[in-house]
Amino acid sequence: MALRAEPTAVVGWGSLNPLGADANSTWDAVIAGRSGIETLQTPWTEDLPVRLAGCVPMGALNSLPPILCRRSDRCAQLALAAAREAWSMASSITTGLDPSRIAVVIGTGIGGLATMHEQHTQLSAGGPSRVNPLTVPMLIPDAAAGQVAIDLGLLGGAHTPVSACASGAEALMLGQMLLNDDRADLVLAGGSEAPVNRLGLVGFAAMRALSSRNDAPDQASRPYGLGRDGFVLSEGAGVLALMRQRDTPAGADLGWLLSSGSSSDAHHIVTPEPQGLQASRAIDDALRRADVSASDLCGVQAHATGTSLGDLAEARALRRSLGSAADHLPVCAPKGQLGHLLGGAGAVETILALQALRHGVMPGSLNADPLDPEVELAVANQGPVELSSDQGQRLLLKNAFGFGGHNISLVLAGSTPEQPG
Amino acid sequence: MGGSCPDKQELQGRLIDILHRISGADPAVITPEARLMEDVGIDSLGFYEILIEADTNFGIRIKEEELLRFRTVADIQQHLESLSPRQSNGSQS
Repeated sequence: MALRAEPTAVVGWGSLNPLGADANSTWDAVIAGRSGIETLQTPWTEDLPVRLAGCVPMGALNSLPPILCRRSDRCAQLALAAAREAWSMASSITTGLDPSRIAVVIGTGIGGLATMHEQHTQLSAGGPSRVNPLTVPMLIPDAAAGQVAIDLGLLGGAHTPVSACASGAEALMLGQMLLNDDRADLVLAGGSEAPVNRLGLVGFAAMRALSSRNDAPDQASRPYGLGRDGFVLSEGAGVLALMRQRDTPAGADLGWLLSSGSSSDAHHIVTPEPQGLQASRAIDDALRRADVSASDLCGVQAHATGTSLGDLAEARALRRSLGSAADHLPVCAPKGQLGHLLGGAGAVETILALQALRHGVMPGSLNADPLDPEVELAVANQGPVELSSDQGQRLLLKNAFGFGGHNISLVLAGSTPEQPG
Repeated sequence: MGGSCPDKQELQGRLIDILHRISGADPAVITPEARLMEDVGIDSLGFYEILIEADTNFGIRIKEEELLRFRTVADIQQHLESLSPRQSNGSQS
């Protein structure tokens, strides 16, 4: 029997993604219904079958020192910028905290993919003498967590869950576990990914995972939509500052991570178990640990990426776990606007979910109209919908799944009382 | 290969730029007598970046045993001058 989790307060957040260079501008773009997907115009895409992607706004990393950019992959750079934003937002709380009691957990699906690609190209073209001595420290998946700890002087442990597209959400679960195990008093937790390069686009396109709507970028990412043809690769990072409930000053919370559930498919390395049996177990696990039921929820933020099989498996998992509540609970699939940030997705989207709870509005699910008739969910495909607060504190379920069969579900709560911001 | 043959002053300017990019140090502190580790802040990996930069920018391949003897900015500059393609024609790949 799962223990009831101690609620974890979110006291700061930072986000960079195709819709914004910070968390607030991201929310504004999301609620305005914008798409962050573009057709890439750079020469290196000319021979690629897929030339679509979501990229963070130009100049979003300009605040990082050039030496740090030279010595880190874009994956770590995105994490650094997001962590700095979260750290700054939580500054009134972190001041005076012992650095040895502050931990970092930054997940990523791949890590320094661009570095790997560039240095292999250097090796092939120029020979061994042209390979950068920083190749390994730049491409290792834990570089983002390590660089964040170095940048902010945090000594309480730096960790890197690698569970493909569940990595960012798994980082939040690990952050909550570190707090509940009293290994830290504050955790910066999140995820980062920088896959928009030739190797990333070709690799995912070769497995036919990507949409090829090169001429209609804003319509390419279609989670739960009829006629969806794969996901859109995006880059970005999200980081949340987490604290135990009992340590959180009154009024300091932006929202809550009530619980984290997990399971593994043990089915296939990339194909989800089609009935969503184990995904449903992760959802059940999260609900049980939060000591809530489906009827207590006011909405669902889905993982839904826009692949044919994955979206159906998740829809069936939600149906199985939520029962009749799934008839009316509004479901939003943020990847319709963001694209798929892989290891960054879980954290960036969790920030959006917490913002939705604060504002009492669920963003619309872009490109989910017409809805796939096999998706028996109340997908919010006609624009934003108001989130019910009939049950008092608003609660929202958030899913994240990854290649390898990793399933993570989170139960999130709004701050009480909710205040826009 | 960026193997043009810079004159002494141009080589010094380009070397300062390279060391600035490798270390992040203020170009003003990258003087001929500045010590690479203590004053400029070049670390062990940065030393090996110098090898690649010299090859890429000047077409000069510095031997590793020579690299590890460098103590100051002037040491590198003198070594590059002695190995510039014009003066050592045929010895570079």
